[in-house]
Amino acid sequence: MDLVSELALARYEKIGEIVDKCVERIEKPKTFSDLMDIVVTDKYVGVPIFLALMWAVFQFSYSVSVPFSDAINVFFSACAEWAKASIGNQQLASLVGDGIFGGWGFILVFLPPIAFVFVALAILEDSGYLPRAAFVMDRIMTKIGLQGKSFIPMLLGFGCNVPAIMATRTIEEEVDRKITIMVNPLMSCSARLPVYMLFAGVFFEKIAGAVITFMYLLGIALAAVMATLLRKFVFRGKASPLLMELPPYTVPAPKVVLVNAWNKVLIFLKKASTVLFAGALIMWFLTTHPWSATNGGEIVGKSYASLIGHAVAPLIKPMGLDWTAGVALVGGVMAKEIVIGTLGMVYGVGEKSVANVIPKHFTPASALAMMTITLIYVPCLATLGVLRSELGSWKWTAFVVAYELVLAYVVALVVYNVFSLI
Amino acid sequence: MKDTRKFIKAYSMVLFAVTLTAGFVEFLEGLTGKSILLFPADVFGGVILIVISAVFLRGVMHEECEAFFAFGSLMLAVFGVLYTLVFFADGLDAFITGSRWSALNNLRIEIALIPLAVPGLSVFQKYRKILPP
Amino acid sequence: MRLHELRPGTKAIVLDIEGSLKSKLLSMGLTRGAEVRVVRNAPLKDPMEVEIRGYKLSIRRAEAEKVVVKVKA
Repeated sequence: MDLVSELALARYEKIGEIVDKCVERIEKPKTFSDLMDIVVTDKYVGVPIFLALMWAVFQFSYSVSVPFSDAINVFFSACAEWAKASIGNQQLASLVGDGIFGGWGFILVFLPPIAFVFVALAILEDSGYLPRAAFVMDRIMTKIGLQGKSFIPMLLGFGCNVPAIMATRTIEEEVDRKITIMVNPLMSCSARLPVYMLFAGVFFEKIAGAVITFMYLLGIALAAVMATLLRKFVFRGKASPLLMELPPYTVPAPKVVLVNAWNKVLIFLKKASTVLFAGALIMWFLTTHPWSATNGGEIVGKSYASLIGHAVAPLIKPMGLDWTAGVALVGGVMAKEIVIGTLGMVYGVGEKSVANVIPKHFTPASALAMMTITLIYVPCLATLGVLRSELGSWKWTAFVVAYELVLAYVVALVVYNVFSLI
Repeated sequence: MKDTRKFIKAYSMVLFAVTLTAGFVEFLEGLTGKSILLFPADVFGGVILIVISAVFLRGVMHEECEAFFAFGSLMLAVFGVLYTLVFFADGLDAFITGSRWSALNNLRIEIALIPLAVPGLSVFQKYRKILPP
Repeated sequence: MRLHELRPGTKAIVLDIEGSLKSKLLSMGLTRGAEVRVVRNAPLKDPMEVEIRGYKLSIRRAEAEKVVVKVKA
């Protein structure tokens, strides 16, 4: 007989008394939820149904939101053009056009996918399906150091890590949530795909598809390894049981769904946008200054960003990369697809002719190393912003950046050397 | 009651055959890269249709065949609506970015299959009304 | 017997709970004398779904192992 049990028992006895007095129970042979659960947790089709519904969420979030993001892009590009044309002072024009309008456009293009992701997730959550999804997937995910509720955020990471990390709020277990957030940047988001496509297309022509698939799988494998390591060594000894209620199904209320999505958009704007905007301005400064040396951002090779690129050049030399790769990677901190644009600027060719120039600076092995680094090294600026707001501390954010840098370096070195042997 | 069950099983088999065929066409096209009208070359889209067909097939073998029939139809409708949204989004995007887009080449079979989901959706709706949640 | 050993459809009475999750499980209603019914296993066998006090609870096998039960005839 111990106190805790007796207290719980007494409490539930009282609850039972009250419930008996005011609730009339009808014997129900079968409920609507029972019927639905028979289907969605079925031994054979349960998991396939879940994956199919996830594909729907993914398509809805990242395909249907595209025109809205593009509209924002078009609008802010026009604003930037207008600012540059109408401001006399070149430096000020560049600050307003590329720095401020460019920066705001960069932040706001994330709003449509965030809104769509959370409309889709709110529908799943409100309907009651979300706990079933965790129920179905838990076994697989615990094998790789995560849990059932981690699956959806990890999957969303293939589209964009920003809404993906925000989606971890459905994970109540603190440790599990932290781990899911920390490994999420390893999921190859859609911004990394153009970089893979460029390098794989140029250096691995016929097997480009296989190489790109390899990069995605590498990210998943590293996430699994890191999640297991984090649980074992960083959050050691903290068990997180999965005790969750499977509530009855309901029809989602449109108002609840929309309010939920709107709140997520506000959270992103309030919490992440300050970090993002500051970062965008710093990146603008680094790539366009010193002003006279770069001829107003025309010659990236002479900018501060290039200085950093040169500084890291000795570090990345063992994997066959030169300073141009270094500069491109510095540019890629802003957003990973910028790696290509920066390479184009460094080589003095347009973004479209980069493919013709890179064989001079890369070998197949170093191209693979470059793709690996793009996959793993620091999260992009926007992801950094939400990492900070969702982890709630700079310390953990810095930890993520540090482990990713080390991991990127080690894995790229291994990939380069193994491939050079073949 | 017995007759409705019979109808549901027979109709489930029809939906199974239709979704499986359409799924295989999209899947194989996705592998070869060729496509014909209404059937885009889409490996994942093909797999989704095959999953839906599996739900209908599972229902035929299961004692709760109505539940599988209703849920499979719900999925059919969800994907039909989803691809309709994608269709309009693509058109809108082409308009915004000024690129070429042809409505005919972007129509997909899943949109045309929405009407086939109606009987299943009515079963779904009936259960939602007569059973406790 | 332990909760994780029960097959779907079986009803049982909770006798005791062991281990560090005791208070958590108690607060979810798994008190001595409460009736539990195993509803189903997940497609990959783990976790399992049980019905207790009129609601459905998902619990991993590792946790269910800590719940001592007596099968109800």
